[in-house]
Amino acid sequence: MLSLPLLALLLGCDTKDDPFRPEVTGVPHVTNLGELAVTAADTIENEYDPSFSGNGSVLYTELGAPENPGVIGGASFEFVGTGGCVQIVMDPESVFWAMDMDPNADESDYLYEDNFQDDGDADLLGGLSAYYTGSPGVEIGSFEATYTDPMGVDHTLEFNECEASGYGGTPDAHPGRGYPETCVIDTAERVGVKFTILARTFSLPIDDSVLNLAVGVFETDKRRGSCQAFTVDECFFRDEARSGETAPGSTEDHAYFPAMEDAFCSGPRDLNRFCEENPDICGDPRSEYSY
Amino acid sequence: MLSALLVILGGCWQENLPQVDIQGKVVLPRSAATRDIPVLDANGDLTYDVDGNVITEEWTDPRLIGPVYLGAYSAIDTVSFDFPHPKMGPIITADVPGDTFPYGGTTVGRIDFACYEALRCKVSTGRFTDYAAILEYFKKIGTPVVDYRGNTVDSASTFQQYCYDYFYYTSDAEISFIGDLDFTERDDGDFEAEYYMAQVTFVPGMSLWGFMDAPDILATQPEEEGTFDTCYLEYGGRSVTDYDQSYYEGGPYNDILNFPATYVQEHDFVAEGVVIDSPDETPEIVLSFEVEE
Repeated sequence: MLSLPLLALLLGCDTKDDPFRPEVTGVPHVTNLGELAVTAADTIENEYDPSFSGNGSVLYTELGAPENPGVIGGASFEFVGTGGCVQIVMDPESVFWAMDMDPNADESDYLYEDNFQDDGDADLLGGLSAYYTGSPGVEIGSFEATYTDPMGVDHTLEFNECEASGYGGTPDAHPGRGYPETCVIDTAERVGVKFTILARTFSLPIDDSVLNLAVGVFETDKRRGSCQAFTVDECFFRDEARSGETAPGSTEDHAYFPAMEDAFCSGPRDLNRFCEENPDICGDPRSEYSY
Repeated sequence: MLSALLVILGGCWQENLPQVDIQGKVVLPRSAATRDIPVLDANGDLTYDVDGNVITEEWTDPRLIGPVYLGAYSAIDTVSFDFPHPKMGPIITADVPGDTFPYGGTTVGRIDFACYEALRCKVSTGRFTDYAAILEYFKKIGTPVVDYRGNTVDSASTFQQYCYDYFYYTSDAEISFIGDLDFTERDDGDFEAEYYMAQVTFVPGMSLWGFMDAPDILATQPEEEGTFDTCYLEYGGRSVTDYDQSYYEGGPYNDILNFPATYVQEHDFVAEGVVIDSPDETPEIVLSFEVEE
């Protein structure tokens, strides 16, 4: 008698067919990329509008959904402290822009919606490998530890040194989907010490439930006593939506991406033209109902 | 009928949250309000003895009591520093103390901006009854209040008018750095004030601890005279940009209770710590320990 309503309530907890649940594709939800060499600063040609096309130690990988929806995945890698400032860059697929809502917008503005279904997001964390609680390639962890004070009260100790800025420069935040993320770690007095970086999955693209991303580590300057990050935007790493080269079950459905990213990096006029010619790839064009 | 009953029952509901409000008195010895201040000549300039040292005199005044920071901590550490200090968590970075992880805290008097750039980081609430008391105090310690042109402000009404213009206020009731005083003098000559520590996570056996941030007197740089070490001068508080004026109002650092050893300096007064077993207690926190160089 009592069990029927209880069962009815429990049915509400079934998430198997949840439309918001990513599809389990066979692409691993946790991966480790091994040790990345720190790329020399002189490979960054323009400090204020940098791009990186060298082969250096940029790695591409992909992340899928876990079988257990309660588990969070991510990609980890290591680098060795140089004694200087090291900048970590991670670019998740794909590109992100905001359609211009101004009724007077012209071709120099974004006239198409971003296709949000192909965008994923991962958040950067990093610090000394000794503090990392995860098992690389098996399960992700954190850079936190617990301190129990003399009264028996637990407090969290934070060892994350990778402090990213949000979209628009918001301090101590992570930019959103499709947008590259960067942080700088000062490795002074820690030459030869190993650091771990974690790109923790925040969201998988809706279209294929597989998040492609690119990562790299670079030397950067120290001025006036603090590390200076170079500017990173969508065009720093190219073709991050390519399928991971080592992960099994790679998807090959991003053939359009290099052309779209080229158009994006050329500016709104080229992107508008690309979207006009490829209506299935971008979002809807502006209409009078858009604003 | 039923809804009225629910309302009544709601008033009886005990959530049993660990957060409590703790109140009591904080006591400062008379010596905490006593400092050597410079003896000035008729022009307000410093005077010197034959050896070239600044001539000073002893002065006792509750206006010399800076902001008092109080916190609830797991225990007191009497080993790591030259003064009693809350127990710290692990030291992670060399030369930076460990986090004390306070359960809660409060202040008696807080750093406030008193309209003029020259008074940044030098005025606490609850120490001055009126504008004249501020002008007199800073004149006494050898750094008269000046306006943005460098002219001495010697009229309380000028001070008041400038504040009204600056804050767009219309009455002294809106000015937080003048009014009722926090500290009163006791019969034994010491000074006491009430404190109210709201929403502290209560742990039986925890310790209440605190310190008074004494103003810098006879500072190396004249413009630092009367400054509080717990105040962030460069980028604290609101930024002010008005014609040729560009500065920050100054404001307290945000980790004073977590890393108090970073801020405790010579002439500050520190508590030995009081253990509290019940939230119903009204502990008296005595800041009896003077920090010496």
